[in-house]
Amino acid sequence: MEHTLSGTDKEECFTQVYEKYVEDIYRLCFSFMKNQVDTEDVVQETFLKLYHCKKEFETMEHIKAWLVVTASNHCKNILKHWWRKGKNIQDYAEMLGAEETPSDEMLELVMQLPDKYKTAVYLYYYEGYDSKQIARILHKPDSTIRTYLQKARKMLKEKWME
Amino acid sequence: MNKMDHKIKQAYEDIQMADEAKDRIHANILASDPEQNKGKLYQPYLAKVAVFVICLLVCSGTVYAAYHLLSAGEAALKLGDEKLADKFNELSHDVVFQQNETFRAAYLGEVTGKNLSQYEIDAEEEKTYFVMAIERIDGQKITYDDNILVSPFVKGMAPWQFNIFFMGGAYTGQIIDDVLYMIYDCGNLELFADKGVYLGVTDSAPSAESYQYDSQTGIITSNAEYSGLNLLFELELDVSKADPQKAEAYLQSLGVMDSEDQSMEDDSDTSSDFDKEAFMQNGYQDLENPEEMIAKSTLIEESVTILQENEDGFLKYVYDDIFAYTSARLVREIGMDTVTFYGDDDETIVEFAVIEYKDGQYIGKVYLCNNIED
Repeated sequence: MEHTLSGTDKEECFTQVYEKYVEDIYRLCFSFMKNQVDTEDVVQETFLKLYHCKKEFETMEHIKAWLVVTASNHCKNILKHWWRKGKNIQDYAEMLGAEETPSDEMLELVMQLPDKYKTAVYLYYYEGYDSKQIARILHKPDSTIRTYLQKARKMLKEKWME
Repeated sequence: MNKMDHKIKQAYEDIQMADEAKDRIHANILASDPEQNKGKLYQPYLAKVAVFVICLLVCSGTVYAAYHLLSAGEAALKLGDEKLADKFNELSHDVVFQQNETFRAAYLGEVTGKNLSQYEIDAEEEKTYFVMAIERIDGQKITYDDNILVSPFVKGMAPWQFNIFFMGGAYTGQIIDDVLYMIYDCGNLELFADKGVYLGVTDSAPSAESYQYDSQTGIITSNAEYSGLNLLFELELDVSKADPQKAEAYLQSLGVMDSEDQSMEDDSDTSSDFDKEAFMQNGYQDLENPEEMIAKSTLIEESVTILQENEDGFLKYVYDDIFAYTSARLVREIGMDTVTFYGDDDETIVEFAVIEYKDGQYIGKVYLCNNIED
């Protein structure tokens, strides 16, 4: 498979990438945005950026890393407006009749983590990367990632035990 | 993998994307490619011409044909708030434009009252909702990364003293056909109708860099020297709905002092249009015992940055998602200024920034608080 998302098979190539990763990127974004509507917006914007991206990707893993970083940055940029409407998981549970909203206690704790830890937590616990791999993906020192994971884990553990 | 690790992984697995959303987003993205959609791309625009050609107008802004924009009601509907859309549709709104060389902003209208939105939490709270449409006119497409902020300002109060941050502001936004539609809600702006209300459209927190404030007249203007986005709309609100007493009570409830009162108390520098002195004297100084906090916190090594004093005597420090802006003189005199950042509970300090003066240099750094885990 070609990884440039250009040329005559652009649409087919994009569709393959989209189908392979969209659910994972949605999971990551949901942990930031905490609601379905905003998460869908970020997912669309992220894949739209990929679709029109001229960048040449070496591997599918490279595309995935790009999607993770782009989606995380996009979420953080939106959330920088801290006064943004506080639509949280409960609001959407009510709006959607609680059918589509996960009610998992741990998920709520993950969503309460500081935003800066969330991407590392997602990559470590869900994707199974180690701290060195995460450091490479997020372009941060390994020590920083280990600190993030350590602190996030401690926070999750304390709240979970309560 | 222990039980907690398994629970965390399971939590992510429990997040499910609806098939309908997956298909819809996929279709939207493919439809964004003009090469794939020749002949049908502009149909939506044509359909809207008849509707929006009537939205021409008035006021201090430049008037353009608004045929390609949604109305305030349509924008609210697109953003999923049918109740608010109905409210907007009950009123007629003038569309007013302002632009610089990069962006064009259209003010689509405002509505004030109780329980206007289907997402309203407090049905008794009076709020103003206003809608802006912003697009790029430099050939680029607007994105969420453009970081647009719209904020009301009130004549008589400097933009950095009273703005959307103080008014419990919130927004929802969406890019539709390369136009960013933003619906903001905040406290009741009509209370200030007799004073004069502005809307600033900017790319940064309102400051003396982006907007000028004349403390003698209370008039706010865009700073022509500012290189970014700093548009300014002057709203024509119904003066009969002004309520100075309620306005004053509202300001007091927010802990905001009207600058007219402040100027009466402070005669130290009436020529200045920016209360730099107060900030110079106080800074943030969020931490009572910074040395103690630093001792039990972890320095993020890569956050350490040497800062330069700007022409106004301020230091700007940005690291990751942290932003601090403080007086260089204060830092020189006291040795450091500190800014705290809170977790999602708005109570627990998660990290704090320190801006210090050492060996003739200003240094910004961030510490992760260990005490949150004690």
